[in-house]
Amino acid sequence: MPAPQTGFEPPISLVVTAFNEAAVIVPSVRALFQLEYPEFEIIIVNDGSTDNSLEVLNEEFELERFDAAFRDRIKHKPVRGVYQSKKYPNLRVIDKENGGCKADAANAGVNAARYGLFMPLDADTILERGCLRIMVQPFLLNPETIAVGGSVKILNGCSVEGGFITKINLSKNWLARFQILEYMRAFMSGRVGWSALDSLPLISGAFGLFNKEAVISVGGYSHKSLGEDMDLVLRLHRHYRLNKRPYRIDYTPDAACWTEVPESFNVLKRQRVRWQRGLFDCMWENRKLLFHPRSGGVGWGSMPFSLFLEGLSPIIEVGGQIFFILCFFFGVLNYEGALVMLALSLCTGFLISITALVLEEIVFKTYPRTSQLWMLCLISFVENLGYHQLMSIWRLEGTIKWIFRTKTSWGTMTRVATWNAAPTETKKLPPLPVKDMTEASKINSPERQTT
Amino acid sequence: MALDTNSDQFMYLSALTAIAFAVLSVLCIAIMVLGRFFSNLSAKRRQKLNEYWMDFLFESITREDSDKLLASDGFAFEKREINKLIRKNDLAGILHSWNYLQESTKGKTKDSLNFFVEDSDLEKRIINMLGSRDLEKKLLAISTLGHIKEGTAWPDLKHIAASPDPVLSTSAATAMFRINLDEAKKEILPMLTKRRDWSPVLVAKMLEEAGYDNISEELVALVRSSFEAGTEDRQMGRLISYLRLVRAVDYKNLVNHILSAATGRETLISCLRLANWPEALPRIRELAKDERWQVRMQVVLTIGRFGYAEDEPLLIEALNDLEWWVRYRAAFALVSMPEMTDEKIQNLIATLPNQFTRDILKHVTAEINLKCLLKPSSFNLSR
Repeated sequence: MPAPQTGFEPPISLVVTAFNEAAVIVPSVRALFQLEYPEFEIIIVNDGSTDNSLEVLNEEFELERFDAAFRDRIKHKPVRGVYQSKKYPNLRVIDKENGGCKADAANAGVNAARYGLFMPLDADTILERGCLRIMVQPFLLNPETIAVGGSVKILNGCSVEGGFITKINLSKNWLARFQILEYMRAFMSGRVGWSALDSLPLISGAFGLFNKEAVISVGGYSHKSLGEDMDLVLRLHRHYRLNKRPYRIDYTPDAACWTEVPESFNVLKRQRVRWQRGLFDCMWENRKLLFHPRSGGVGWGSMPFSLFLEGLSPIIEVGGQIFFILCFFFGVLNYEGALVMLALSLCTGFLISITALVLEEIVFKTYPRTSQLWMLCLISFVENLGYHQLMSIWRLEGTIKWIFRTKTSWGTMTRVATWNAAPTETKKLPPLPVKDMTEASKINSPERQTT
Repeated sequence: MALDTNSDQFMYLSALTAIAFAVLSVLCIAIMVLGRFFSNLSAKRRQKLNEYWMDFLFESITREDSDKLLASDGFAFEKREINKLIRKNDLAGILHSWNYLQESTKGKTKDSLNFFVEDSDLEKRIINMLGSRDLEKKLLAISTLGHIKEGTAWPDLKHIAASPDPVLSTSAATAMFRINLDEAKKEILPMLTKRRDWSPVLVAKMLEEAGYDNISEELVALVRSSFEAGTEDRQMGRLISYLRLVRAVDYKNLVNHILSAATGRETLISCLRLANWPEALPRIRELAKDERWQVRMQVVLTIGRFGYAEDEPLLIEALNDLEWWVRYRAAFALVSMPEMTDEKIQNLIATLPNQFTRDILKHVTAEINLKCLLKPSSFNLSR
């Protein structure tokens, strides 16, 4: 129905973190301007990009440097310059030194955000037009809400024009297809369930709406953890529960964003190893909450679940698979027994995936064509014939690397952006003058604030 | 040595479990595929229905006085026959289109749409929809009954307005306001104090629709009685914020009184947002020293709106505040003062002793020059 604006809608800061996103940043930001919401600002944090992201933004949005005075309430790498768009009063670009992780860029955005609610976004994320209205509802219905998560859907294979999805398709890449089911399982069953129990352990870094003061009160995003999104939510739980402050962290499945997933083995492997390490980082950093008397559903439900069924399960899965193979080859397990165990394993995995698919079909029907539904059913079966096992191996690798503290990094996500109908032409542009902001950032540092 | 699994109970159980899971999976697939099939059929039918009935609805707007409506296929129907034409499952789709037109149009067109429902004798069927388990059908029925001002639905709507679901209850409350404003004021306005779960956006929409002049007196009385009853601060803040929907002359004395007597943060902020008269200035100036930065920020904003030249030192002092938002809004307020010229601003920037105060003034003047200054928002969650 037409939704007139009343002026009571709380304004939102959209914090877009970008590292080498010249290919996708402009159409993504253009799409953000078309969101159906009365008041919001867009803050793009250019995290020391080595491509011409800043020049591309300058050409498109007519940036002008200005002397911003904002307080660094959360630490991050120095800001080189703040630019205001002359075309769009609600668009600002923060150019900073690379912090080595998304958390650093996000913290700079949080510091610069002027509104009480902020939404961290990746540069290639596409939001549905009405999603802000949906995401803000829990804050309006319950004033104690401090964070809300939404659903993340797979953009690969879809057609996008002007920053909005014009056609929803399945990707031709099988890795992307398998990930569709994974995301469905995670969002349709996991998040909905934990949210209902007031124990949501994670709001996806791709799509969440947070109360700025609540995030600042727990120190913002952590540089230590590779799973900064889960770590933030667990720290919020820890801070509020252990200090007996009423709060609510919610999940709205109706609000969805679309994001690109890896289509190559190498990039996917790096991502999954990082996620697994991130999971253990989060569990370790927030171990105080685990089984704490005041931790409620989080410490006694979602955290143990994440730790044992997601964290330690690769050890059992991979160990079980190896044991199974060894038993078969050494004749301990006969042919019929092996078949039965294999069938049980396949059918269990199949049923779990199909259940998530049923929920998706009942509630959303994201994929409109029946042929796509059949393909998803096929994917539900096929993913158990190698993909799931590969994920277990990679997750096990992540677990081992965490145990032995092997160095790792975010790596580089190669943006394919094949969905982008009108790619930005990256012309050679004159560089923007970079002023030495060292003095300016000292002025804005917390140390100088206390007089 | 291989185990003999033929008599192994565990293997037998595993096999049965695998078969059961496989059967369940196939059943789920069958449910999905069938569900998709029927859903596609239903969607196609609904689309055709919408196109067909949209023509009727547009006809009803343009040929309001006629007893007959012309369908797109050339057939003419008596309005009273339309009820029989609409199947049970199709009514929700038609009401969706009807409500869309109602929400999109104004004035006489709305009345014409109401006549369509009344002449077609659909009221009883719509009232029956209130008992549906389908949330969409319920909401459509509530909205339609409100628009057509169906008095017989009052008891049902009153019951739904008291239900714990915030979306259903606010919809029912809105419908009650449309049907009988005087009775709705007695029933619904007191609920504003108790219902913390009612979205202020939906409440504001409801009150705006009811009309400023129509609710002014009762809303002001409600705010007064709620304050005297010691209503919780956050809820009190919301109630006071609804006063911006009515005329200032109606709430001025009340807000002055609450501003002087209140101590709650949200209450004070809401009062400061409304305050726009010189009599409130002494109390507002007092609050500039409040320990809560949200209050101080609102103080400087309010002074910026209608303060006098003698408030300049207060605003300059606020430029030293530890909280960025207070400094930012103080700079904005200072720069907006009528007596403040560019020269004066530059002089301030050059002479103020504190780096923070100079920086924030530069920041705000740069924003003004670039025309990107943030307007203060009306809602408490903003900054």
